Parts: sequence; structure tokens; C-alpha cells
Amino acid sequence: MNELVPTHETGPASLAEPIWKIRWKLTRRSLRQNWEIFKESRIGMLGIILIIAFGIFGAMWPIMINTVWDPMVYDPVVGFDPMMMHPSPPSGTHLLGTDPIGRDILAQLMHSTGREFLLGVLSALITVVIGTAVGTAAAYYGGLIDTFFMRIADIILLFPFIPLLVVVGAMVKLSFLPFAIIMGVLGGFGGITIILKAQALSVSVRPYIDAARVAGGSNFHIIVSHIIPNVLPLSFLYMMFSVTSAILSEATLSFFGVLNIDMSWGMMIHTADVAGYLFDFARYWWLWAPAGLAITLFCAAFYMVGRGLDEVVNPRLRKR
Amino acid sequence: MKSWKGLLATLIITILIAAVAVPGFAGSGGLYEMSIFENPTTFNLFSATGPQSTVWNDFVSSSQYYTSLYGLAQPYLIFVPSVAADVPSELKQEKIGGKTYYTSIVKIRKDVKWSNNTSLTADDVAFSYNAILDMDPNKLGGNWPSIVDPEVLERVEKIDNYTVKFILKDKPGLAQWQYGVLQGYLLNKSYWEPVFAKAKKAADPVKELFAHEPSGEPVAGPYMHAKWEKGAFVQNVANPAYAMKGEVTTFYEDGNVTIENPKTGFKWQSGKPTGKVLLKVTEGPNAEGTLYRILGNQAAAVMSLIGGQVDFILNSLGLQRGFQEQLSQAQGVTTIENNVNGFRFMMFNLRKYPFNIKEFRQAISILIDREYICEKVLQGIAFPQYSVVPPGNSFWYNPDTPQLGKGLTRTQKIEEAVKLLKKAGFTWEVEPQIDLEKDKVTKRGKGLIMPDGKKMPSFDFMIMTAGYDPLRYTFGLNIAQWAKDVGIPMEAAPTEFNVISDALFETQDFDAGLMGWSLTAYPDHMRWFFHSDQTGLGGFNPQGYSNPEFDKLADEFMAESDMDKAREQAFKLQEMLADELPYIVLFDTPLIEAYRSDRLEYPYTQILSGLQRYGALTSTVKLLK
Amino acid sequence: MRRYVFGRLGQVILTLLIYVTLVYFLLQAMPGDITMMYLSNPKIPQAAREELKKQLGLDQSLFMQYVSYMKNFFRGELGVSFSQYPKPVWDILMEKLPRTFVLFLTANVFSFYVGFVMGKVIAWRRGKVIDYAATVVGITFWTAFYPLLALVVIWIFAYNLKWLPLNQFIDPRLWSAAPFTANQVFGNMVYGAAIIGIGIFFIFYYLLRGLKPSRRSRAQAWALACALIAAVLFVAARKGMLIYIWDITRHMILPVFTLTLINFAGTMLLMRDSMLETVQEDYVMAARAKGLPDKVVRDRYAARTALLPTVTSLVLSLASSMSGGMVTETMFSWPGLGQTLFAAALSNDYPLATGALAFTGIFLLIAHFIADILYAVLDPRITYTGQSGV
Repeated sequence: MNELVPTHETGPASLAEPIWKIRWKLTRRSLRQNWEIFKESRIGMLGIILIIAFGIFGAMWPIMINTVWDPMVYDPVVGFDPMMMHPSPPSGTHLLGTDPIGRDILAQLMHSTGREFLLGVLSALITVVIGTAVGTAAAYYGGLIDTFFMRIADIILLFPFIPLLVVVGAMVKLSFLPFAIIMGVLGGFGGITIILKAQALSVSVRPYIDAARVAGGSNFHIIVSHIIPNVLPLSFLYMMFSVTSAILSEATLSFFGVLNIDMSWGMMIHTADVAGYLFDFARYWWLWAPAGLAITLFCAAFYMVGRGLDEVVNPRLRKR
Repeated sequence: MKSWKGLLATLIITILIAAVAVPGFAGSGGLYEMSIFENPTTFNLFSATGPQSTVWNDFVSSSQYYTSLYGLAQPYLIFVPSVAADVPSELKQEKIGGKTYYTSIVKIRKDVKWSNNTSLTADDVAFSYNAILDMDPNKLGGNWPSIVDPEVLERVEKIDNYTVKFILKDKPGLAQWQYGVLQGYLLNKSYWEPVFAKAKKAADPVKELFAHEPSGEPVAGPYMHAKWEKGAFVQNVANPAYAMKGEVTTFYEDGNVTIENPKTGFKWQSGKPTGKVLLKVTEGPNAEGTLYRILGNQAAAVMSLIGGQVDFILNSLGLQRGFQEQLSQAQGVTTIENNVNGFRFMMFNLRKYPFNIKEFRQAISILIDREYICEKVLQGIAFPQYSVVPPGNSFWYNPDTPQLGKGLTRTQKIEEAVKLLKKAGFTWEVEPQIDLEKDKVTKRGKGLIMPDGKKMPSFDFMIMTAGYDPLRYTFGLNIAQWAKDVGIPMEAAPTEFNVISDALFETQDFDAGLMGWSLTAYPDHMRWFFHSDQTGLGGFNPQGYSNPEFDKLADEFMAESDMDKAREQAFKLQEMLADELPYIVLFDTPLIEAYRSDRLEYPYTQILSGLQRYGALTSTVKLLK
Repeated sequence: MRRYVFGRLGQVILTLLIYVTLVYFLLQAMPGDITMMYLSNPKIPQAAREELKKQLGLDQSLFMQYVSYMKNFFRGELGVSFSQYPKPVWDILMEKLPRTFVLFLTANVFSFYVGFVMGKVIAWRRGKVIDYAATVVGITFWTAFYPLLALVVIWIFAYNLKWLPLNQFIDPRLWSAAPFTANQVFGNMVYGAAIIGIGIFFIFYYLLRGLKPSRRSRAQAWALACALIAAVLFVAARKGMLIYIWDITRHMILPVFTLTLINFAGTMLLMRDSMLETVQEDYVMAARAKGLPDKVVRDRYAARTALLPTVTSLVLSLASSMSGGMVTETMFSWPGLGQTLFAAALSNDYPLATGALAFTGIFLLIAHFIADILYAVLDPRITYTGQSGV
């Protein structure tokens, strides 16, 4: 935590440069420093490379469908290739073969990548925004607000996540956006609040916070410009883990057929499963391996970045 | 630390080696082994037929332990006596205590025994009906009211030891009589009478009765209960006193049947059988017992079938195509396909304009290329269907039912549909244009204007989610696409099952939906789904179809007790429905099953709804090794 | 201390109350109810449907249903299952509990142990190839798509290699003549394992104290441990239960293996980080400076302290796996609480679903409670009067 240079401004008014410029410089410097530390972590770098690879892969989707691929054949949901029997093994026209109802696996994989990014990042963003806001507020104000949010976190921690979502999903099939929001909100009020609150607590007792208060800074100002910047790296770290858990949950729920999502990696495996092809693994490998690997690698990538960030945030983990 | 590790490692290695070295326990040759996917929940017939009427309970107990007076001879599903000695006597009007009733006499076979070797008598038969009437079938719930129908049945009286008299409140139709009351379960009076007496004294008799856990209940069916390890398996053993063992049922080409029991000398025949013998079925059971393994997923069941741990997979949905492909290559396994009794269909809310315009529905029906989706997109895992009675139900199916738009090309379909819509007064802002020669749509229709001059607003077409039913999902997407081609603003909306059924049965607030039914052999569903008295909330006619002419015909059909006349009326009903289209019937899927042909020999494998419909022929299958 | 414990206990009960209420209303708010299953059969008259609603208490107002549910809840009754009417929910859960408990206890202990040992090793050799390799492999399994991994494992080991049984938790062919029910055997397995576990702990604790135990005491410990295991097995054999215990064990290997693959990385990484923090503590440095062998410093100094956060996470994961086994139980046909919960949800059996969720909640709450107390007792840095929940 100590790595981040506190960005409070107490400088005299006679400074040549405007305050925001100084702040920007400081931020840039700390970012650069953190990046240097992060680069040391090979695991983290591996994660970054994987994420970039997925990013490029996902970005190819709009290009491919608008130029090379005929939407009638390559649409990931309603596409169909009348020229061959399905599921067809990889061939020139379908590089990763087709699924049991004649849709191109590669197209599905590409199309889903963007959506997985959206799902993961959106729900993680919601988690982190809520977690940070609630955590810092609880730490700064204490008392009733603290107790209230901590009890909520306790209760949410009690919820067995996957089973509960499966139970809810079995009754109302959640679609993409509601699912991302629910994952995000549940995550945000849950365990992450407790961790971020602890971090915020350790920041809020530092002398410069008192100094800011004495200088007449409003509560809101102090929270936003002094406490939150110091909590953010940790928030960012947990955001990575949230992405992983959101994607894995989506895949598991899709596999059980309790989500209302038309296409995702989990749905691809579900499709193979309900059509009875998830059985002879060697023979119909293209029906499960691409999607299964994508889920694993994508989640692992974010997790690895999280591990790398951990070394930035937690100096004790760094190399001696 | 180190010794800990050493000890642990040694232990694990020992266990692993032992586990690998010791093979599984060998199968016992006399058991017919099947797999089921869910736990049976009870072995109490009352709850298994009442609130817990799951297909799994039926597979392992209800269909195995009990007999009835009459049954449907498989595989042709012909109505024949089972415990009864002959067909029931003609219904007769009779005055009893100042009220007019219909009565019928049923004679009972003298050779039928319970598993404790006592005879099945008229006392048991009368008790089986009267005890349930006393309990109120409506309170027992589930299927009870349709089996022991309190609106029809007044009482069953014992005449002598082997004769009973049915006293009926009203003249029953086929559905209530032959296909209802007469096929009710028979219970052992000496076992159940005290149970009922005790239940009656409880604060909640029904609950008390449901809570009873039978043990040592005498049964008259081919199998009786042996062991239930919850979550793992159920085992039944052959009933040593089963009277029908060795009985031969012979089916003749002219539709007649004879039943002969060489052991007890019992004989029965319908009409005067002539012509070729189609099939001879000898009743068993030939197995020492049956074993039902509870497996959590399909892949496990299929692997067990290939591995020889199970002989048959019980699954009311059948096997998926992928499994079929892989099983057909496995040694010693045979896969079979059968038609099912049901259909998936689309319907409109006929209370709303313009869905109530017949031509509009006909146009939609024409636009849907069932053959294309079934053969091309779904590659034969589904087959097209046009009538509300599936062709597989051959006795009741009308082969002359009109099939709108069948065989037309895509543009011919659009041409026909546009013609129909124009006839009903629809116009377009942009009329769809087609090129018949090249079979291409040159301009898609836009801005459909209804006969009342207003522009048709877009509406939701509720379809199943891809996770719930990929077939209906695929069909739905395609239908919406075709509708849009001619400018009908239909939006396919994947919706989950509970929401759809709430919309249909609780609120009736919907525009269009894609649903499915599975049916019973007797096609009285035509009355329930389309009669105007079912249009209320919770009724079975949520689409609000109301046609007095149809109602009248349907009521006549239900009241008819003569098979041939009923058949004629059923034909007429089908034609009417195919023209009016309160349902647009779309397709159904064949049922795929697989069994170990190196272990089993079935007397037949072609039967409507598959072998599993009747519990996988436990009483007629032969075990080869 | 006592004040802290009681205060915490009060909070636990309040939390439970709120939790059950939330679960109750959440499930009630879902569309569809149990009478829906009658919708598929037109021959069932409306009267029968109304009767069913009355039997199940669905004709009362939601609030009244809730009040009577909560009243019963604190009397230890979880109501009556809808789909298995009139069987009490409690009975159904109790029937499933031993199976879930035995499988997940074993799996958790295994993955914890594997994770613990590996975490210790890779922390010590940080930056080396083994550190990176173990981390990457661990993360890959940790984020693997579990249902798929389970199917692949079954396919390889049970179907192709035929080493282990396919699915289920017992072999019906063996058990069709068994004089015991599976739950009796599970119960005895828990007793047996507890006796062996506690026994061995004490044997090793007393005989192998100190930094360098003698060869003789080590041999003694081994002999005693083997004798204890033999004695327990002998008793089981005398009861005629050995073969059934054996059968269950055989069926447990695959799910335990798969669960360990998936889960060990969690403990491993936690242990690694925790170790890295402790190795910088003064006393560890001191031990090294003293010239103690690396292994002794690692195992007896660093690892012991580093264990604390890991043990807490074990307690929590044990509790949450009491319901989290839905995937495992479905893929391996292991009929436990997770499967029951899923089936209950699919059949709109609210009392059973609520009961199962509440049940898990109680487990988790107790675990949190124990973890808190453990932390407070074991870590001198936390004071009882300090802010809770931090």
C-alpha cells in the first residue's frame, strides 16, 4: 500500500503549475512504479499476455462476420451450414468444426469472447465500485453505518453462491445483464467490503487524514481524494478475482441450463451435453475442448493478473 | 511431519492399488438392471399416484406391483380384460333408492392370487374403489380423480366372491369408463383396510394415509418390493404367486386378441379372431428380479450401458442423438426409435386482434417450413406434424387431416400466405416481393396494416430458452424470421418455462407462445384443449378458442361409448381443428432408446412412446445370460 | 472472553434469523408453485388443485405462512416437503447429510493437505521453476470448468481404464443383500475415522515431540499407529461391515481426486503467501541464524505460524461445501444435499429448498463463529474487545 504516493495537496498557492497537473504527474509516477513492480511477476505478465490474446481474438469477431463470414452460415446462434452433416469435425470452411445444430464453433467462440469480457468486467466493476464505496464509508464513519454494512456482508457471505443462483435460475432464468448485475451486487456487498474496509481503516488513521480534516476538508472530499486512492490498488486486485468468479459462475449455471443466455462458452458445452456429445471425449473433442479451454484460460489469466497485482499491493510477497 | 506424510502416502497408495486391483462385483445373471435419473420418493401407491406422481415412482413401483380389472394389451394398446374374466356387461339404467343409476356387472377371474397366496376376490375389488371414494379422490389429488372419478362412480358392490357391480351416477364416455374407472389399481383389502381405518381416525386422514410406509404389502403384479437404498438403487423381485405368468396373448391381423393361460386354463378372446397372427406375447416375468440404479446424469447411464452395468436406460425423454450415434457402434447394444404421443405447437391469444382472424393463423401455418427445420436444421431429430393427434396413435389419427403449405417452396409459401392475408383485408406499407423462379425474396414486407386500418404493432412470441429446449428454441427463431419476411412484426422472446406457464394459466396475458404436450392414448385432449368451457383462468384453453359448433361435437365425442362412432367423431374434430388452427401443430421428436441386446430379448420393440412407457417390458423380457 | 463469545453468539442468531427470512421471501417471490405440475394434466379437476393448496397451507396469506414457518423453524421443524408430501424436510436432509459430510470432509482434508504441503514447498523455493510451474498448474485447475473436468476424469479412469467404479456411491450388486443401510455404514466410517485420526494425532504428538525425535520413538509411533488402524478395521470386519466400507471408499476415490485437483491451489497459494510473510518475521530469521537445518526451520517455525489463516479458510470451506457440492453430486451421482437442493428448486419445492439453504446457513454460521473464536484464541494480535468482523 505504501507504494502509492499520497496525493493530498497541501502545497502553497504560489506553485507554478496548477494542482491537477501535479496530481496527474504524481499519479503517473506511481503508476509507472507499480508497473515496474508488476513486470517483475512472471505469473502476472503471463496473465496480461493471455488477456491481450483474448482481446485480439474477441475483436476479430465484428471484422470476420462483416467481411469473411456469411451471417446465414456463421451466425453463432441461428447460423446453419446446409452443406454438411453436423456436428462436423474441423475443416477448411469450419476451422473448429460445427456444433450439433450446425453452427460454427469458431464463430461461437469469437462471438462469446467479447461477451465474456463484458460480463466479467461489468460485474467486477460493479463489485469494486460498491465494495470500495461501502468499505471506505464504513471505515470512515464507523458506528451504525459500519455495523449495518458489516452485517449485510455477513449475511451475503452466508449465501452459498452457486447453489443459490442455481435455485433462483431454475425458477426465473436470468438473462445476461441481470446476471452480471446480480453477481456484481452480491460480490460488492459481500466479502470484498470487509477486506476493503480493513484497508480503508488503516488509511484513515494516518496523520495526514487528520491534517486534511483540520484544514477543513469535507468528509466527502477526504474520502474521495485521500482514502479511496489508497484503497484502489487493493480494489483493483479484487476486481481481477471477481472477473474469474463471474465467468466461472456463468459457465456453471449455463451448463445446468438455468440461464437465459443465447450464446456463451458455458452454453456451447451445454449444447454439446444436451445433444449427447459430451461423452466420447476423444471423438468429439471440438465440441468441448475449445470452449472448455477458453473458460479455463480466460479465468486463469485474470487470476494470474490478480496474483501479480498482489505483489504490487503486498510488499512482503515481493522478491527479497 | 515426515512420518505423517509417510503413513498417509502408504495408506493412499494401498487404497489406490487395492481399488484398481479388485474389480467390480460381478453381475448376477437373473437381474434385469435399469438406470433411472431421479430418486423414487415413495412406495406408497396413494402418494405415488397422488401428489408424488412422478414418472420415476411409476417406473419402479406403480407400474410393477399392481394389476387392474382391464388393461391395454401392448404393443397394440387394445382394451382387454386383465383381472376381469370378460368385458363388462352393457350399461343398464337401474333405480336404486329412488335415484336412477347406470350399472354394469364385471366378472373376476378365479385364478388370480396375491403374493401371499390368497385369492384376489370381489371383496378386494370393491374395497379398491370404495375406500378411495370414501377418502375423496379430489383430496388424494394427482391422478386419483381421473382414475376413481367421483363424478361418475357412485359405488362398487360385491355380488358374489367373483362378481362385482359398478354403480354409476351418469352415463360415462370411453374416457371415464374403459380408459378410466375400469383401469384402476386393485388393492389388497386385508392389508389396506386397517391402514385406512387408522387414517380415518387421524386429524388429517389424507396426510396420515400418505405417510404410511408399506411393508410386506401383498400385491398381484409381476414384481414386488425387495429393497430400497435411498439415492442408490431399488430392487424388486418376481412375484412367485403371479397368476398371469405363462399367459399367451395373441394378436390377429383383424384387430382381435386372444388370451390363454396354459397353467390355469383361463381363456378369453375378443370377437372371432381370423387371419394372420401378428404377434404372440408370453407373459413372464422371466427375470428373478429387477434392479434400478439411480444415476445422476445421462453420460453416466450411457457409460454404464456400454460397460454392461445396466441393460436399459429408463428416461421418459429418451436418449439424445449424440448418444445414439455412439451407442449404435458399441458392441452388444441395440438402439431403437419409436414415435411418441405428443406434439409441440404454437398458439396465439385468440382474444386479441388480429390473432382471432382465421386467415392470419393459416398464413402463419403456411409460412412455417416444418420439413426444412426438421430435416435440414435439426437433421432428423424431429419430425414434422400437422394434426393434434399424432400419426403414431394410429387408431385415432385421421390421415386426411389437411396439411397447410406442405411441400411448397419458400416463395410459394409466401405467395400463399400473402394471398390469405389480403383476403382477410390486410395491406402493407411495403408489400413483400418474391421471385418464384429463383425462389428468392426480393423485397421483405414492411408495415403490415390490419383490416381495421391500423398498423400492426410488434408482438412477443414466447419460446423456450435454448437451455430448456433447444429444439423449440430453434423452431421459434426460424418462425419469427419467416413471419418478418412478410412483414408480420413477430419478435421471438426466449422465456423460461415458469414465466410462460404463469402467463398462460395464471394471467392469460400473452400474445403468442410455443409449447408442447404429451398425451394419453385416448384423444380426449381435443375436448380439454379447445372446449370453450376451459377458457377461464387456469383452464386448458388459455388461447381462448371458442366455437359452439366445435363444443357440441366435442361433447358428443366425450359422451360416446361406442369405439367406432367415437373414432368417426375424433376424425371430424381433427379436420375442424386443422382448419381453424387454435393450435398450429409443428413437430415432435422420436423417442430413442438403447438396450443390451446380448443380454435381453424383447418380444417387440415397436410401441408408441417407446419401451419405457410401460416400464421397459419387465414382465415379458427374456434374459439371455 | 466470555462477553465476546456471547456477544458474537447473539449476532449469529440475529444473522441467522435475517438470513432465513431473506431466503424464505426470495424463494416465495419466484414464479410458479407446486400445483403447476398438475397443469399438465387436464383430467385433474380444479377441486383437486385447490385441495392440494389447502393441504400444503398455500391458501393462507404469505405473511401467515411466514410466521408459522419461522415458529416451526426455531422449534427445529423445517416444514413438510411439497414434492414428497407429507415427508418432513428435516428427515430428507438428515438422510442426505452423512453422504455429503463424508465425501466433502475427506475431499477437503485431502485438498487442504496437498495444498498445505505444496504451498510450503513453493514458498521456500520462491522464484524457482517449481514455484512458477506449481502456480500455473494450480491456477489452471483452480479455474478449470468443473463439470467438464469431472466428466473427463470419469471418462478416463472409470470408463476407459476401468480402474474405478463409474458413478454412484455404492455398488447395487453388492448391496442388494447388505444387512446395513448405507447411512449406517457412513456413520460408522465417521466414528472410525475420528478414532483413528485422534488416536494418531496423540500418538505422534506424544512420541515425536522435540526437534529431533529418536529413531526408536519414531518406530514406536509407527507401530502404534498401525496397530490402531488394524484394531479399527478388525472391529469393522467383525461387524461384517468391512466390505461395505471398502465399497464406499472405492467409490469415493474419483470425486475426492477431482475435488482435490480443483481445490488444492486455493490452499497452496494462501499458504505460500502466508509463509512468505512469516519467513520475514524475526524469530524465523533467528532460527535460521542459529544454523538449524532448512527443513526444520520451514516445517517447525515458519509453517506453523503460516497455518493460521489457512486453517480458518479450511473451516469456512468445509462449511460451504456442505451445500456447494451440487456439481460434484450431479456429475458423480452422489445423492447428497446439493442434489436435493437442485431437485427441490426444479420442482418448486420451496420448503425443501428453503430448508436446505437454511441448513447450509447454519453450518456456515457455526463455522464463521468457530473461525472467529479460533482466530481470537490463536492470534495474540487480536483482542476480544476490538472491533468485530474486521
